Amino acid sequence: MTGDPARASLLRELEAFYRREVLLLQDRRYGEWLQTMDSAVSYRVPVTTSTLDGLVTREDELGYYDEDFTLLKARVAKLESKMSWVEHPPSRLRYFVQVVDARHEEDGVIVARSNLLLLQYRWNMEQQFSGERTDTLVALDDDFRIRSRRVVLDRQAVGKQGLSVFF
Amino acid sequence: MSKTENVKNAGNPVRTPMPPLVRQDAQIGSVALSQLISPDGSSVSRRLFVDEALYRLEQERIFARCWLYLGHESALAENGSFFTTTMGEDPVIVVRDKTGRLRSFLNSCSHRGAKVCRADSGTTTLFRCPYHAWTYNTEGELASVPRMGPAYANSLDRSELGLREVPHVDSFRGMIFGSWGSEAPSLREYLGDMAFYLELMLSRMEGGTEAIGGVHKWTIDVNWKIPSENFAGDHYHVPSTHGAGVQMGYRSPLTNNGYCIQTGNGHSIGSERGGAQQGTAVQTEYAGFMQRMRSELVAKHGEAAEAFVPIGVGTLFPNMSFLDSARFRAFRVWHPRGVDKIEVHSWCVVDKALPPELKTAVRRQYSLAFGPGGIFEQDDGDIWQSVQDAMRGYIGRQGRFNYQMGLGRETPTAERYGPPFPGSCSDILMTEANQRAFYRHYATLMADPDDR
Repeated sequence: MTGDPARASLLRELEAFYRREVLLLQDRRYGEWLQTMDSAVSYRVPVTTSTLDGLVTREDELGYYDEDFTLLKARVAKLESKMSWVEHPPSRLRYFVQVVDARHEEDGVIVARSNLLLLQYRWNMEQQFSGERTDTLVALDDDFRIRSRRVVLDRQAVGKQGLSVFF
Repeated sequence: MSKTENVKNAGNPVRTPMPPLVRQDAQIGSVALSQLISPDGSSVSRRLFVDEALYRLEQERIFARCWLYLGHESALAENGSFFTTTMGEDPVIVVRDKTGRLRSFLNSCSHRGAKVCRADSGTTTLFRCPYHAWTYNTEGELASVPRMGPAYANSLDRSELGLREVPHVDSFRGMIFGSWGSEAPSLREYLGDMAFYLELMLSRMEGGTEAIGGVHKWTIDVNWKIPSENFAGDHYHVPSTHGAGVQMGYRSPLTNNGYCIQTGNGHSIGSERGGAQQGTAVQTEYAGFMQRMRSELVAKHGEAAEAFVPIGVGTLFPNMSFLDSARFRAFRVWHPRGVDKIEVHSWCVVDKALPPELKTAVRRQYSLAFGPGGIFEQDDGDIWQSVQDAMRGYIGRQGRFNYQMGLGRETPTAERYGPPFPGSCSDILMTEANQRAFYRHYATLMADPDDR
């Protein structure tokens, strides 16, 4: 892979994109974060179900998040309210996006997978999330837009009240 | 003791079906009821939410006796379909057996107690214990035991060693309930007059309802009664707790126009006129659908019936709550996990006959507002956790919570809405009558048997 300059360049650009996104999410600059999304975005974090064959996710099942752009915008508007108690005082968030891999798809989009680790410290609790992210990205001249994001969390149930973070 | 009491109403004594007054001379274990709940239920000791001994007695006197919600029939489509849940803290398997009958069993091997099923849901013909491989069929019978000859000399009576079965399992309009109570009334009797309102919620369209997309599960560090009583009748919290949801337009500001209805057996509903979650942001076609259902109900029961589509937010005693709102319908159970913790199981329930794309839109509306990260749910959970946290200390667990709001305003629901509508209600939405009814019923069940 080191012999493929186009691929190395794509990974560098993606890592720069994720670096900017992590900083927006950590600072809870959600209005700007929304601008990284394509207006036709599908943003899904499906629930995982324990079956006799192990943990599974299904496309037609409930999600922790199951959003289009309008619903994401509604969530952001809620979190930005002065009466959004779950984030008063705001959490400290630390995002780690690693093991980024990507490939070009035939229709000009890029599919990127990465590991996500998120540590959250809220006034009354702390918790961590880990999972696998799969993004479909549209390339612009010198930037990307997220067309779809699917994050499968490693945990089976959310361990604490008031899920108030994006993945 | 009489199931009704006299309530003054404009000078005329009328009878409303409130649960009995709390007997101040009775005991719950070592504690006098007078120290816990006032006669009318308008003040409740903080001990109820933190006392380990009371919690243990609740497991026996409430969770091992009452009818508890287990899940929706739509989750058990074929013979052999099962899901696992708990009744109080007791783990159970709920299964459609090979003849199609709904049954429930303690999820614990009769030999040495290990869980015989480790999955949330699935389809099977057998439950095999991983400890020593005792194997049960979907009827709960012990179907096989390894080394029956060499180890047991074929002398083990398998017919005596089935899974412990929940003696009463029944369903109402798709809702499956179970009860361990030896003297349990029928499910229909247990639901009592609340069945009338459940019928309104569950029989809007031909074909009934279904739970779509599986189960949301999460935990909240709070005693189970705090969310149960909140859904029973706490509308007063909406403007503050859910101020953010109002500001961003998901929900219009709360008015005091509506009802809180209790039916005398701990069950309650309450709704703002037109239903909760009316708002301008992120609309779907569901509003139009509900309007059609409203017209149908008015044609059947008259103009006053307009208030009952949707029926509102409610609690079926002890720990099943629902949210039949202007945007979606959710069911949930607050499973106790110790005195200071619950595991929430939550479902989106739709009418089967809705078009598929509307079902998806409704599912997303539910998740946006009341999934684990719901813009309403997240503030409820955060605040409830702080209620519990503030009662950890020696001082914090002293004193009482106040439930005086709307005291004495109850009248029979039929007086306001016409003859078919049972229970009692008040003339305004914001009252704590339903919480008082909840704790009065709780006291009746919890009082020592000799004192009941």
